[in-house]
Amino acid sequence: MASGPVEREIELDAAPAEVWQELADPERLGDWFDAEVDLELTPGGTGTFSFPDGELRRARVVDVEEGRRVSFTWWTIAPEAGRPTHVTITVEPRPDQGTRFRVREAPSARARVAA
Amino acid sequence: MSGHDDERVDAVFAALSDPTRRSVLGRLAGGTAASATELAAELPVSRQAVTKHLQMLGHAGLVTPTREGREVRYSITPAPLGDAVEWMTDVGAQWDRRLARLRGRLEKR
Repeated sequence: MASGPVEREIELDAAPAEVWQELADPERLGDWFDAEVDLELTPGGTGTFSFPDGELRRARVVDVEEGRRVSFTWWTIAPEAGRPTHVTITVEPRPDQGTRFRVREAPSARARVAA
Repeated sequence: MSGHDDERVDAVFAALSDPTRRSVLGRLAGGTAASATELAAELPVSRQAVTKHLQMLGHAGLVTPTREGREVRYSITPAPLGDAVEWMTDVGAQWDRRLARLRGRLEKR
């Protein structure tokens, strides 16, 4: 529980720079998120994710380490408002030229309440 | 996160993030209710600290106080843990689908 309730890590057969483009380019991001994505990947940048089932989420970028790490907060605004969660995605080079891709998602109120 | 009591889920994760609160829950999970005084005697924390931790666990719905004479005894009410697990399962499944699509995209090239 040190870092977040939901954690995933996968190894990808692609260079980190190529994988980063999958995050930085909203069209590519939208493809694997299965959503229409409009997101400015800079600290403080805002965006929206609209999903095929009608769900709409708003997002706010907290932090970006170009090519390596992005964290954002997102929350559902339709069909009904949800509480924000915090997502951190890390892109790490592997010795074999591939990429280790890590995701964490946790309720964003958690850090505040737990302190 | 629709479909869950989001605030409750947040409170559960917050409650579980502290080792002392996990110890308190572990003790109460043994089955018998206990007072703050009893818990403080069994754990390396003051009664005052235990009372605070019990408040947070209560806020998350993980413990329920019952008054017995002059004493308040706490028992474990684990249902909110199920909501938290359900949240983790849902969110985890969403990421599994996204990551599978990401892998598929990169392998197509």
